[in-house]
This record gives sequence, structure tokens and C-alpha cells, in this order.
Amino acid sequence: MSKYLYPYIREILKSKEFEENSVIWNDFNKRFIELIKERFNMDSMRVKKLLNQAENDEIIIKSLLTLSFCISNQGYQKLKNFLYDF
Amino acid sequence: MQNKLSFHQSSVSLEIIGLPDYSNNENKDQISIISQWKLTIIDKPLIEGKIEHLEPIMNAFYIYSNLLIKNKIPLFESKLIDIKADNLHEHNIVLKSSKPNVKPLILKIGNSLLSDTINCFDQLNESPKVRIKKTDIPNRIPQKLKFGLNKKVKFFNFFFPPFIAICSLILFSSSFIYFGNPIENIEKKELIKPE
Repeated sequence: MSKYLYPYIREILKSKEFEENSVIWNDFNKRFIELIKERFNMDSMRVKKLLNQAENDEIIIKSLLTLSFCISNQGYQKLKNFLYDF
Repeated sequence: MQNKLSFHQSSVSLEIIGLPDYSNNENKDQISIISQWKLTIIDKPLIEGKIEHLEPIMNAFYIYSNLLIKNKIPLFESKLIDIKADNLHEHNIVLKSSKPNVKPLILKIGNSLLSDTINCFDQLNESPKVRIKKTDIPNRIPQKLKFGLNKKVKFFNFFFPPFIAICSLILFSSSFIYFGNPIENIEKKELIKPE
């Protein structure tokens, strides 16, 4: 699926490269936090770390990079290997 | 006449120039003997070389991308290419020329260009028209996982036999519930006798 989302993923990654307070990045970060709040256990320390906007840049960038590296036909296998080792 | 194949991904394109191996009965549009390749990244100098440079460069990008994601130190160094992360968003690539007296080429690329480049290499790897030694680094099961699987297997082998032994012991001993306790019977008899 990341194949179809690649242009968006790329744009989000690119937005952070040039501007510290990019609108695209901030929108994505906001939505990411909303989804985490909806679906994850908020009492967990790890989840709290994910929600901290000052600290979650690295995990978001790595997740987006993982998806962007897996858009080829063998992307599923690649993603599986990346996730096993996460 | 040489064949030319291009792989594009957003701001990066990879061009492969070469010939088919006619001795192997290959099609006209196949490339098995690569004579030249060009990696074009928009706004960056052109990178080109021979087949012996392509594989190490592809390997370097794949290894670096794996290191980057696996939370290890994102640093790759070799005779031909060095890649290291300046920060979360920028990667520093140093391409060392094999020719003497040529200064190394330094490129700074962001995450978007890095993923474009990796995707171009993926397209090349998956292309049926180009026959190269496939780079299988991303498809390999990571070392950590292999270790993990071994550990799981050992863990299973270690705990399964005693578990079965304990279960069978419980089952076997539970059958004794149906038999009377001889000590209790003797005690009861002793209690009855004084009367």
C-alpha cells in the first residue's frame, strides 16, 4: 500500500528537511498523535513518549522511511524483515 | 548498438547502458553486460561509473538504509563510498574516485532523495530486463531475528520435556485419589478398637 502513498510520504519527509516548523509536518504529526490517542494504551510510558511532540520526530521519520523503502514488488518481504528487527 | 534502460523515482533516475549476452540466447532488449551506468539526482552532480562500481554503491545504500532504520549507528565506510548521517534529515555521501588525483565528490541528500535512490535500485534489482548480481541485503532475514528464532527453539527444547514430565506425573498421581490411604485406614481402625 505504501506504493500508492509514496508521494505523500515523500512530501512529509521532504517538508521536515527544509523547514523546522513546516505546515505539512505539523499536520501529519497532529494526525499521528490523534490516531495514537484513539488506538493505543495511554497509560504506557512508550505511548506517552510517542505523544510527546518534542521527542517523537525520530520514530515518525524512521516509520516513514521504513514505508518509503518498501514500495517495490518485494516490499512486503522487506517490510516484514524491517519490522522483525525493529 | 547498446541498449539503454532507465528507472525513475521522483527526483532520482538511474540509467543502465549495456548489451545483451547473445551467447546465452538473450533477447535484443536485455542487458547482461553493463558498460556504463548513470545516477542522476536533481540539483546534484551526476554520478556515473562502470559495473564494478555499481554493485558496491548499491550495497552501500542498502546497508546504510538498514542501519538507519535498525537504530544502529548510521555509518558506512568503504574504499569507494562513505555514507554517514549528519542529522535525522541529512545524509552525507562521499564518493571516492578510483582515478588518481581526483578529489572525492561530496553529496548531501535528504531522506526523500535517499528513499528515491533506494527505490531506483529496487527497480533495477527487480527488472527482468537487466541481469546483474542481485543485491539481497534487504530480503535477508536480519541477524537479530535469526538469533531470536534460535533462542526460541532452544527455549522450547529446554522447557518442553520437563513440562511434559510434570504434567504426566500430575496425571499419574491424581489417579491415586481413587485408592484409599492405608495409613488413614489403620488410624481409623485404631480409633474404633478402643471403643
